[in-house]
Amino acid sequence: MSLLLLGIKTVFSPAVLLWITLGVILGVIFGALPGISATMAIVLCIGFTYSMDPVVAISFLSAVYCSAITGGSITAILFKIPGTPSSAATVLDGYPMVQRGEAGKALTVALVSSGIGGLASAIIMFILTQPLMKLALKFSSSEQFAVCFLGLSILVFLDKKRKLNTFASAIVGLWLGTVGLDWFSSVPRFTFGSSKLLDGIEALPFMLGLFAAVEIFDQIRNPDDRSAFSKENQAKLSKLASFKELWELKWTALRSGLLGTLVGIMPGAGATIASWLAYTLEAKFSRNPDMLGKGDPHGICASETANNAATGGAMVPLLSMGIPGSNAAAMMMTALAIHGVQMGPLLLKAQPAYLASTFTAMILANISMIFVSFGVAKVFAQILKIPYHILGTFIMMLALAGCYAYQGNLMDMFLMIFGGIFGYFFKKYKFNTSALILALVLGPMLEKNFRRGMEMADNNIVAFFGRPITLVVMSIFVLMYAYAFYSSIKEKKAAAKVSNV
Amino acid sequence: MGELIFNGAMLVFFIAMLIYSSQIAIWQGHIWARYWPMTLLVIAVILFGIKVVGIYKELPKEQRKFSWEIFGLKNKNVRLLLLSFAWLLVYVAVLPKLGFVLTTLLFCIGMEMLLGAKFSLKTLLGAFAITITIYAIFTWGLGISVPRGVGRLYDFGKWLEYLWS
Repeated sequence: MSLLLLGIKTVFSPAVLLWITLGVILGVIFGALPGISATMAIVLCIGFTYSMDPVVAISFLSAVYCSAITGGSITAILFKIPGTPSSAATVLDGYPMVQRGEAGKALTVALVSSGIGGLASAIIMFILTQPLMKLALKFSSSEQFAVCFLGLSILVFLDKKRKLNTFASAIVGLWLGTVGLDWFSSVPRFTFGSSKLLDGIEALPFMLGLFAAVEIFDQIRNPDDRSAFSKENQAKLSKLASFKELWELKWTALRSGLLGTLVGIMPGAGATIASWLAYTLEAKFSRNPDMLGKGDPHGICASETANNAATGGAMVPLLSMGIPGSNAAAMMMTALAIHGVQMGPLLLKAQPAYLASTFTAMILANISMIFVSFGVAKVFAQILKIPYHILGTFIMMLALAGCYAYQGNLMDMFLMIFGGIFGYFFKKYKFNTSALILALVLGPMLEKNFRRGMEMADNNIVAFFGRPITLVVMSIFVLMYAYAFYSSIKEKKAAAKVSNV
Repeated sequence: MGELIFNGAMLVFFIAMLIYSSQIAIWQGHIWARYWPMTLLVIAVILFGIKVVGIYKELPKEQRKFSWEIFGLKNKNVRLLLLSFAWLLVYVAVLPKLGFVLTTLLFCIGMEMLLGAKFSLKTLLGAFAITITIYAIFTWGLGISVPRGVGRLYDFGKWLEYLWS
């Protein structure tokens, strides 16, 4: 309680509140630009803070960090370009809602859910940093492998009618994740002597190709009926979600917020796993699971609440142990260190004002994001009124420029084009691009944790899987697949009975 | 038939990768550097093998014959699609030589026409607006240096970058 009061006393000044609001707006804009991740947003904003008071600087950067993750959902929903891999799950329901002319509603759900997720995790972080850190320390490679594996369990629910295609898509993604230099032995794999492939297949450019480029190619091949954006439906474009519609999402937000915070605490897990796990959970709890993936606001809420909740979770190991939970958290660590924050167990005793101001700034940033989101949603929804030949070209250019901006490498642009061409046929022949992307992102983590865990267990597979938390998580995985298998047999029998009648 | 060809191509590709994976060096006992991707490739070959057999069995006999018509090249939109693939590749290939501004302007004009616009002043203005917007956001706004081109185009690119600062 004293920490909260200290935080309020430190942060509640006009200058700090103004910088927090500015940080939210900048963070959302940066996050919306593909190729400009939360990590880069913080890097770009550090320069503004050199001459600032440390509390102001910390508050501003915390606001940028929280809102940059949110910004990715805007382009994910409107243009099918996820700003970051953690927004890929948002595309599944966000873009279909835009196609129905409900862009404003989809954006409101995403931005408000993000605010709530970040707020919940910041509050949990405030209260439970020490006990949560003890839990995080129990997660070694074996447990992280199990969590990644559980993240892949979404596959069962992605497309029930084409399970073989979904599994095949995932295998393709897992294999693509092996291209490049091996992490442990530095042996090149599937590079065919090319130095350009030594870094492997980067997920972001490939994903931009799979989602954005494929959408443009679809429009060229099958010029769409744009009646969703006709004059009659234009009023719907900027119509925001009502309070009643947002209230219906409360249980989804609660589940996803808790899950995202827990997953965010685990180093390396991050917002991507959090968003997909929350989406899986939503598929289990949803009253209309068939609607997921076809424009259900619950899907957007699950993904966005979880990926923002992971931002707070990632700060737990960062502030209490000096171990960043994600790339963006690592950049925050650098930024905080520049301003004299000494992360670790002594932070609470030595610099309580800095700890308190970080937490309080994150809480205020997320509250402010909920209000800012209404204005942002209305403005961005207007973009869809632009004629498609200009909008489509802009989307393609934004994706290409984003690929180049990511690492300053032309190879990423080629990768995006390859992803687009491959993705077009992949989608045409009813494979699952979401499964491919999920596997591409999780694959390297899965392999690294498996191999590291096996080394630590002296190649004893029983010791690897026998750890208590690993055992529990893998049991959940087995139960989910067993249930899915049992459900599909039951459905087939019921269908056979109906056809016999 | 198109689905069969695609899945067949994937099967052949993964068989080739599986054979290639046997050459991945094992250094200092790190056997999983080879066997992890190999395991994935074995599963991929099995899955795509099942798919190919399944698709072939489901195809009516008269559709099992190969014909160039399955590629739909007589369809105007298919030709536009193939042209868009080529246009993108040309854009990235030419980018380092002509620089970002000129290449993007030309690319945007072409892309708009592929998306159904006719060549007109509006198309040109649209392409110009997109080029300037993207340039302003990434170069002037975020300080990301884009390819400037060669010769006079390089000097122009450099001048444009410093115009804002």
